[in-house]
Amino acid sequence: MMRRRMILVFLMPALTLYLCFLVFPAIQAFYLSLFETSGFGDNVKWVGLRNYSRLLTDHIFWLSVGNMLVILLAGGAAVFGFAFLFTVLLNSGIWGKKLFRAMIFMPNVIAAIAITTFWSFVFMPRYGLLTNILKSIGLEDLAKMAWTAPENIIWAMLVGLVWISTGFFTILILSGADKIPIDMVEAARLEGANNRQIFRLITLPMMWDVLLITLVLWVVQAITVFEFPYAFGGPEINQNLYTPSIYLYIMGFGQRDPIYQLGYATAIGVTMFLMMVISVTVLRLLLRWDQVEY
Amino acid sequence: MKSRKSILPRRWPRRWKNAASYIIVGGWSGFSLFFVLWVVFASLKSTRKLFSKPWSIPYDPAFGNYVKTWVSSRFGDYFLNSLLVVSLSVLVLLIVSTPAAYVLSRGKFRSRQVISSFLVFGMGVPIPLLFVPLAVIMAKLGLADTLSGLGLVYVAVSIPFTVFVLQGFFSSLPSELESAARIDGCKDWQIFWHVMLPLAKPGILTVAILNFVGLWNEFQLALVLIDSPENRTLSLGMYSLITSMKYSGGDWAGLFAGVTIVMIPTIALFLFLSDRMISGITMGGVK
Amino acid sequence: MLFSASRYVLSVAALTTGLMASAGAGSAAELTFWSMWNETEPQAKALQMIMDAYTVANPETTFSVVWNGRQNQTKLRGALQAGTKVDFMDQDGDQLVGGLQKEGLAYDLSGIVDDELKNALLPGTLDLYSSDGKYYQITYIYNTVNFWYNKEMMDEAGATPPKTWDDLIAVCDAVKGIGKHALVVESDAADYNMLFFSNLVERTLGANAVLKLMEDKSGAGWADPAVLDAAQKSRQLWDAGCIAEDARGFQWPAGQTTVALGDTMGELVGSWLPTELLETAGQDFPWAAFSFPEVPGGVGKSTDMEVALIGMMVLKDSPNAEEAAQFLKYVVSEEAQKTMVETGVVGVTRKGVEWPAIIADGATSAAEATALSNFAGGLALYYPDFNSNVAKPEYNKMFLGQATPEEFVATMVAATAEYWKAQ
Repeated sequence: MMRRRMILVFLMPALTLYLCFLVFPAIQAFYLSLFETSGFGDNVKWVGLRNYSRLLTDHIFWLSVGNMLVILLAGGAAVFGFAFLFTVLLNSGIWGKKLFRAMIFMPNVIAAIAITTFWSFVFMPRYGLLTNILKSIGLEDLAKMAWTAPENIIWAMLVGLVWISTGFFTILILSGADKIPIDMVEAARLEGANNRQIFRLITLPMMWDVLLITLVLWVVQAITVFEFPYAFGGPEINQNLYTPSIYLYIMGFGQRDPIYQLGYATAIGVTMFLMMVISVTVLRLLLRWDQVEY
Repeated sequence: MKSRKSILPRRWPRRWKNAASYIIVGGWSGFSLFFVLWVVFASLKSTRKLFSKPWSIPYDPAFGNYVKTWVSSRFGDYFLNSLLVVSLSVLVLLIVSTPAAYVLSRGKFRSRQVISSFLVFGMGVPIPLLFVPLAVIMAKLGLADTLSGLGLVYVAVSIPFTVFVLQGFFSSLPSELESAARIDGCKDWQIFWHVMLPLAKPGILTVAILNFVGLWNEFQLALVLIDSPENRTLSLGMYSLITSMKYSGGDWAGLFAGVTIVMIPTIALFLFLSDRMISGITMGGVK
Repeated sequence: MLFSASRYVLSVAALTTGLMASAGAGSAAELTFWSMWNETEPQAKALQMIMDAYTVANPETTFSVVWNGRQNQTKLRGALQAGTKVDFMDQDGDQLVGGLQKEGLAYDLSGIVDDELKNALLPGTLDLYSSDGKYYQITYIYNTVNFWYNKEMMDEAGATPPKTWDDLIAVCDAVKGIGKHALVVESDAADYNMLFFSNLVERTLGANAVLKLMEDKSGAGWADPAVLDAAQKSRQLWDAGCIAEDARGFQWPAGQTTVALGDTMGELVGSWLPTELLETAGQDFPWAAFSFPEVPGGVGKSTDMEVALIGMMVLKDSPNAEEAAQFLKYVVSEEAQKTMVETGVVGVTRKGVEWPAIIADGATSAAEATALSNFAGGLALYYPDFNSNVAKPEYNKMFLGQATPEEFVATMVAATAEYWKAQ
């Protein structure tokens, strides 16, 4: 038997660090969001829920939520579409599955901040790579497009974000598919099941867990996404690229113009957290309900 | 999955379907390769050349871009900072997480399940939520704008994932060895040290690599917690290069030299250990 | 436990530093300077030379510099909270006012600002950022706002610098005739784009008129016909083809690069442009500048000018405030300002110091200036959050065609009323 003392000694260091630098600040965020302060020390003012009511009417916040939804839904559709496509193709018995899997995943090991530099150059109007390609194949009209104009810039950013995320979600979904025992499929086939039945009765139920987990992961990532759009936006980031996290950073720390609204910034963080909890709960309920039908 | 379920039209002959699979998968994979090569080529051109001939191969490489980035833009210092803070963080992380994961997977005590779930909860805390509180706490502790403060936070935010994966790994180890050791009269910590720890090495190595890569690329916490240029990590240095190069006429080539410096270590790790990394992530993500 | 232990360590540390500071006072002072320049920029090199020279003359004063780059002031708060010692810093004058002066964090420099100093500097440069007759920063770099352009291209197009707004549109046509564009913008540099608006308003209503629009707490200030007219005129630049369509997508500095590469004639921007483009455009680029044209019926003169001065500020809590203030005085001495010009390639605030040749036209307009307004109208001075979150982005939206001039006016009226209600 393990002694109590050893259990305590083995758990304590990890738990202490976890509590001090993750749990405690997370809880403190709720408290800080009830104040108005510039962080310089002397002028801390209790405002109760006023930061939250201000958020409700703050159209920049809603703009950032809108952008977040674009990333969540349109980005999500693209990421999961590609991830499923690659899962099916990689499992269709082609040669070099591991190699392709590794190559598709590779962007994930490179710092997002470095990758944005490349994508900024791709989408730069007039001199960028994309314009260059379009020109060389004679699509002059498309080549003149301003891909980073205000109404397009979030889509340009999304291309890069989808490129990175697809690799991550492909390996997750692929590993889920690989968990399905081959014998089960073979047995079903011997019993005379066709492809569609196998998919409905075996593949889908077996992958349900993976699907739920990957969806939850995507929702969490999409709601909190920060560095890719932030770095893509450059030193004076356009509001059309704001996500709630970026708006939080701008309000709490500021880019070039300092804006010191710590309480308000934290309220944005708490709201994000609540959005996350709610959407994950909804997602779980929805998928559980769906599953019953199969 | 041998079902050979295909989303391509059924009437197509198998050879076409295969070819289409190769083109789609190969095209996407090829783009990853193209990305790396293009960035490396771009970093070896002059900025003027980069704008006028973005597709050319630099036969007379301009290594000066690297010298400029490494020395004047201080990437040498930032590289060392990153190496220091990331290696030490990963080391401390392993020292605190491995015993915790072991106890949580092998120990039998009442609050085990509660503590496990409590740690998993940490994976769901959005990092931006911590921006302001961490800045305040670090200032109070006198750790603001220090690499040691940043390292502590790195360890804390990495604990949930690391413990979770290691816990799964310990659970997958056979329990016979443990009981055999106990019969031989080993004390509980001896079992951990001499029996379980050696067995867990592959798992520990996996989380070490994953955390190294993750923290090497970490940007947002460093952005919030580090102020002084001399404490910048490589990803912060990269960001400051992006913003500062624009004031001096847009030295894109130097920028791509910076990108290359940032990505080389993680790509090198990935080249040798891609299987291990991918299996580690799927273990943590899909259990 | 953890907390009380760390508190102990902290108090010991505070005590030691306190002792060291009091021991050091009077004898030797190391001044910590937080700078908005990146170490690789020419301005940083010039400042380093100036500091070295100062230390040679005053061996008891040494410097420790942190070259933060433009996010200097944003980083400052974290540093102050952490107890990092900062004696003085530099940043755009309006940001120093909006961020630090307003928070009461600046050291009163009125002691070193005497008539002699005032007369030695170009008119208005100290007063622009003073408040209640007190001076909190010494402005040491002078940036004028003009149209900076390629003189050869202007000649090639057969055009001359415009005097009125209609002349400007005519210049655009002439430049279009040779297959180029007269102007370029950066879609993400909202404050550059706002220069069209603020200058138009100031040409119609007079210097510092944008600030006055904001002072009407009902928001009705923005309903002045001059505002709508300024918004419409700035849209006209796109309709008349002054600016290339794809400029809507330029992320700074892609737009200004087109000037250096000879695709565009010029840009409405500060006199730092030739310096920033030094490497890309080359030493011999034919830089010239013209002032913002007059508008019919306006009270603003063509010699009224927007400026973006860069100032140095001593922080209130600096233990070496007096020493730092003395150094600031040295930075605007003739000797130091010459170094600034020669090595830093910038315009300076001291009278009689010749500016670098590539921005000679800026020096002329600075010398002839009849009234100074702040960069982009000066909202950043007193309303930094409103400026960042409302004025700049809303104007930029309209400027880039995502809203109409009428919608812009309505938004500004409503947002200003809301802003004052919340105060």
